[in-house]
Amino acid sequence: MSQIETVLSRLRERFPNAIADVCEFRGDTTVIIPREFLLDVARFLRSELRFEMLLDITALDWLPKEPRFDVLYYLLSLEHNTRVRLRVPLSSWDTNVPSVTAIYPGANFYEREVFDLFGITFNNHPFLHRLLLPDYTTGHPLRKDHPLGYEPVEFTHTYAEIQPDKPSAVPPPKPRRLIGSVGGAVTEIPLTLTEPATPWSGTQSETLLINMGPHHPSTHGVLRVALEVDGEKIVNAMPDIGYLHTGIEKNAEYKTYLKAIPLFDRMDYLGTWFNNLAYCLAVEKLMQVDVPERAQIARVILCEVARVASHLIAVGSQAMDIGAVTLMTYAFREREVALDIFEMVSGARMMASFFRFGGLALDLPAGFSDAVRAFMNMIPGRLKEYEDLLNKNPIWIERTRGIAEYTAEQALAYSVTGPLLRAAGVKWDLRKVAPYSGYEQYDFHVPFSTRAKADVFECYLVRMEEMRQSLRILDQALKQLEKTKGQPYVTSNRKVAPPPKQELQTSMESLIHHFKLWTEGFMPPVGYAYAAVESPRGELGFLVSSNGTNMPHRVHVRTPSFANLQTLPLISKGYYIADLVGIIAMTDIILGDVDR
Amino acid sequence: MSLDPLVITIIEALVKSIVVIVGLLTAFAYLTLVERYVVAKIQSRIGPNRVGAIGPIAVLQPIADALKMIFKEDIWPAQADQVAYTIAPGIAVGTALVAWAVIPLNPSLTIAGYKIDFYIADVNVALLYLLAIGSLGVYGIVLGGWSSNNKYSLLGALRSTAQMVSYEISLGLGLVGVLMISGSLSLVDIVQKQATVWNVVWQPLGLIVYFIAATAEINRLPFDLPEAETELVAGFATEYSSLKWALFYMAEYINMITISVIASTLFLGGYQGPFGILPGFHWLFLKIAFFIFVLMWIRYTFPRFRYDQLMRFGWKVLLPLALANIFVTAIVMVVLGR
Repeated sequence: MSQIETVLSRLRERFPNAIADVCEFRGDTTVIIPREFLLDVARFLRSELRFEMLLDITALDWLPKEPRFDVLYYLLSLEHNTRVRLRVPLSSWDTNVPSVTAIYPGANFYEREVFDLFGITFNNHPFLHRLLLPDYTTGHPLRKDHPLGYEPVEFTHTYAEIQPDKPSAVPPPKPRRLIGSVGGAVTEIPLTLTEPATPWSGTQSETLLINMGPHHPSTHGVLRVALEVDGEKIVNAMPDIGYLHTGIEKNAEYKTYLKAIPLFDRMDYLGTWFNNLAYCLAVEKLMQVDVPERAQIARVILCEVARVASHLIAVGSQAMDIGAVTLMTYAFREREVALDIFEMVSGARMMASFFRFGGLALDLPAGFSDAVRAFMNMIPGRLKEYEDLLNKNPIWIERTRGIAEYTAEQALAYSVTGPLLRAAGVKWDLRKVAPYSGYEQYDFHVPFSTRAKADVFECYLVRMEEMRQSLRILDQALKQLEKTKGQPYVTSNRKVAPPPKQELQTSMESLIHHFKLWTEGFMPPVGYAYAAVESPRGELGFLVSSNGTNMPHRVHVRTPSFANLQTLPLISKGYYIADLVGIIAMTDIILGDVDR
Repeated sequence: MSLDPLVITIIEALVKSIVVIVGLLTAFAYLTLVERYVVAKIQSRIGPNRVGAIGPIAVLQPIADALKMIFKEDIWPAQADQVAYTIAPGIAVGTALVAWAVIPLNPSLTIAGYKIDFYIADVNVALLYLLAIGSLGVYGIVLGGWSSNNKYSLLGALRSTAQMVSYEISLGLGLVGVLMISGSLSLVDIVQKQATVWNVVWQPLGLIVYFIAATAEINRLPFDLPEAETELVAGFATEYSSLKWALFYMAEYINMITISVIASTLFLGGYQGPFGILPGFHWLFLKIAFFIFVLMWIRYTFPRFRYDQLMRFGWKVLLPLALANIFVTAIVMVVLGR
């Protein structure tokens, strides 16, 4: 009996009335439960069945069907390497669910996001406010009946556009909510996540409130942290996000599957290849497409080069935030070589959009292997150089060792994945535990910490070691690539991949496929599929839901930065302002990845 | 026609002051250029190579920078304390400049029967004067940070005060060994006493303590906490722009030269060079250049201290070292009977 069957049978045994249905689709198991049982089931899953982590919460809007909404909870058991999805159907006139934040603290941001974008209320959530959109927004944009707005045009020749009575979905700009100032102004956001919302009172307390960001040199983009400090010591740190929210998930619903690929490049702009890969994997899973070996190897190579490049930035910018500016320029110098490889392959240095469903857009160019090999040979010496600069530097050690300590339990509870989780001593890497794209054939280690608690220094060490392991993978993958020379780089399934140009002149069928693909795209069966990859920041998962048309019904992205950022209040409390920049750098968040 | 000696003295001092100030401002301007090249080399970058480049060196770059600074909009924060906000950069630069009044740059020369001293004033408490002026410099930063009405600036100013208090003591105590050996507070005397052996031979620890404390005093990395651009945006200088901002930087660079010249004067024999080759000023220039290079080298190699670590280092490491140095010096002097 497989793990998931054990889970299901134990669930049925414990809650005979709760399981409304179990649905299996493309290897994912979804358990449909009414919302009355949600908390009990979640508690049972967490405590008895060892589902330690809540990976994701999202919702689907099935307008005009009833029950209209599905709230999806995606749970992961690291111990059994099992995943299960809970689906709670909600009717359109009663959109309430109990909050699971008491069971899984990591649900906090996710529930706020669903509340923000779908208008589903989570009862007993400690702080149910909009997360990504400003407070003054009306409506919930991911609902299917949300009016599509337009920007009021400054100048136009079209009379229809200047009609004054035409409703504008864009409200007049209002100031974003303010968080206090010296002299006793009141916060709208509570500074703690666990305590009830108490207004911050500058007149009575000795603390100072600082708005760090959104334009601050070390918040890695447009993150705003409301800091309550006592002297220089952090009493509370509350991240405020959404400044880079561009509605990528909503935009994807209005593009064909293929045309949505470049959108996702813009999320995690340091790991664009991972976004492409995870999305392609999800659609391939939905369409049941096989990827030829050469394409898989190429994907692995490109992603590992990208992982090294991304970790270089993580380490370099972390060093810069702590004051060692020189390391940043070194890291960028090395990354330049990686970008040259990307440019050579796709023509773009960052936003590659090179992966396609079933393979690659093009075959790899001549000289690719040599370029990657040169990169591979260069990096170890350079990493040694960094370590000479940092590893024994007493200032660096004092600034990183013992800073932002957290345990594995805390990391799991807050849905932390990636190097941050491994630095807490959990050996968890999707490339090992749920291999995709042929990672099972490569020999590499998953670095993880052996200390009781993670800190900034551990994270740095894990990243450095991961780069070395990536180089090992690259070495093996390049050898594999040589063997597959001349083999196809994209699937021969003409439903998702266009036929080669030569075929069009001889084959009527190819012409039809080509025409269909470029005019309407393809139509996956109704249902949803989830695929995840190990991005440099953690588990990056795409949930692609199809309603049978040529455009996705919904694409939800489980981005690692989003979950990792939630830990900031927890891990930065009690340290200094100077540490906070190091802690933000340690979480290695990409704000595009957080806000989407 | 003979002039009143007093008038001659005043004119002489005025001329010397103008020469020193112009020299320092030029030195500041080109020091920024030098720093950019040194940094570029350390960080494997190219450095400025556009403005009036002669070969790889952009000789007009500082002038272009200065012009840009002058024509930038001078922004006043609405709630700033206008008076303090305006004079703060002036204090910073003023104190940096007046320190140079007592520094001897060259042995005295006699031209046409008229003796020229290459210092503006030979004060018998020159060293105390230098220390006093050095501690005044922090007022520029504190006032600037406090008057900007910005929380980052305020934190920067607070850090600066605490840092000054912690490092001022080590700074002074680091120099005491030299005083004990020389038996004089006048820099001219101290330099002349090093004609045979430089003080650094007897006082290596004193030099190290002084140099570290002085680096902290002028807020260079790894002690640049009042500015700390990754933490406090720009610390005390967050709200400053245009020429006022430039003045703060002018003060920082002139202070770099000042602490280098003090270190050279007190520990490396000032304008005294070995073997009698090269005129005095060249030696002093070389020594200053060495110290300035070390300052830059340190800046682009080390991460930044944290506030509390900095204090701990100042009180628990530097201060005991400085005191130990004094004790050892005293004992050795008594034993040797000097």
